[in-house]
Amino acid sequence: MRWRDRVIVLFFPRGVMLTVAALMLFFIHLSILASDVYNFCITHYYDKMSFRYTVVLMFSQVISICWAAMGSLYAEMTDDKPFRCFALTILMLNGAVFFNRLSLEFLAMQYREEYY
Amino acid sequence: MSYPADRLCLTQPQAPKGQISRLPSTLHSKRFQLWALGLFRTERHLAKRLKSNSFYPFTQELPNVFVLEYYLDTLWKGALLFVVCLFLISFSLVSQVREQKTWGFPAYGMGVGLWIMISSLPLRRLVLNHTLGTYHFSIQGHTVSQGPMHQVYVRLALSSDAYRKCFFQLVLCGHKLEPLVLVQLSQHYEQMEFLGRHIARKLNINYFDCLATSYRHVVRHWPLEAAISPGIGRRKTGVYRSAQWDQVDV
Repeated sequence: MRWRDRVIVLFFPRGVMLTVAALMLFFIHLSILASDVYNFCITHYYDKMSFRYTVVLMFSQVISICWAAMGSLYAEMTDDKPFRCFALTILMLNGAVFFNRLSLEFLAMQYREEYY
Repeated sequence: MSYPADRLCLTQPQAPKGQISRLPSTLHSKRFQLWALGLFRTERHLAKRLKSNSFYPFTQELPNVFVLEYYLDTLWKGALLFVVCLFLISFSLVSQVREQKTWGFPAYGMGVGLWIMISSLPLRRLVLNHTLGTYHFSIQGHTVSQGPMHQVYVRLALSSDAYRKCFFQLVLCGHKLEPLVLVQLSQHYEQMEFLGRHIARKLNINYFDCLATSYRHVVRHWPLEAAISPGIGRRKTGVYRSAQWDQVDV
């Protein structure tokens, strides 16, 4: 089955869609992280940071890591080596964004802490 | 002693000749037949279905050709998820909790539901052609896979809960096919086995038990290599053949 046919009938090999969705979420999280870092370090407009969405963001990042892990698991079962590398790379990128986000949150908390 | 699963009363007279040439209009309602699995006494539900159509879930188009057209049941599940999340978003029911904005959760649900719904929208068609000895699986007219008949089988799947209660499922599987659940979890092994063997016999495909090595497998189609290679050979003929070849070699 050619890829054009696959797109028409939406019948992908198992795990490909999970990996692609994790990739999309990765880009979204990366752009949010970049804008947060920009507002935190350079412009200092702290109100423009995504503090109001922390719960949703954390949930979304965990979901994204789970999808990437499942996609990578499916990819490991095939013999397609580039596809396996691709899935594993996306898993690692998602993990990296998650930990960067975590460190940024800790920095922000340290900044907002009040001393009396 | 009679077979315990005979309570299901599957011994029915053969279908009349006129039923073989089924009208295509009845096929439309049959596309959704795998959705209604029945919540309680699932194996009895299947037995009822088998009584009305002895080739369930397939329909017989020609004497040796069975056709199954179906939509995946994730269609209604995805649609339900999508509609519920759309409802939540449009009335902004969980849009804010304390200081946190949480409309992202139903937005997620909407996206996932939409994807599940769209991906299970195309009509699937599975044809078992015994005159050619092949199966053919296509989605919306696009061939996904086709191969020899021994790659399609009915399997009894086993799953157990925390109290070591065993639950059985009848699944129609195959190489590059989506597994189709014929009966959801049930605790009656004998009845399930009887039904599985019955379906496999009617459709003339392989039946496999829940254990990997079992005397209860019914293998009707072998791969072509199995007749030649001594490792997978049939129980007695294979042994005889390899012994003969050894003598010839000597």
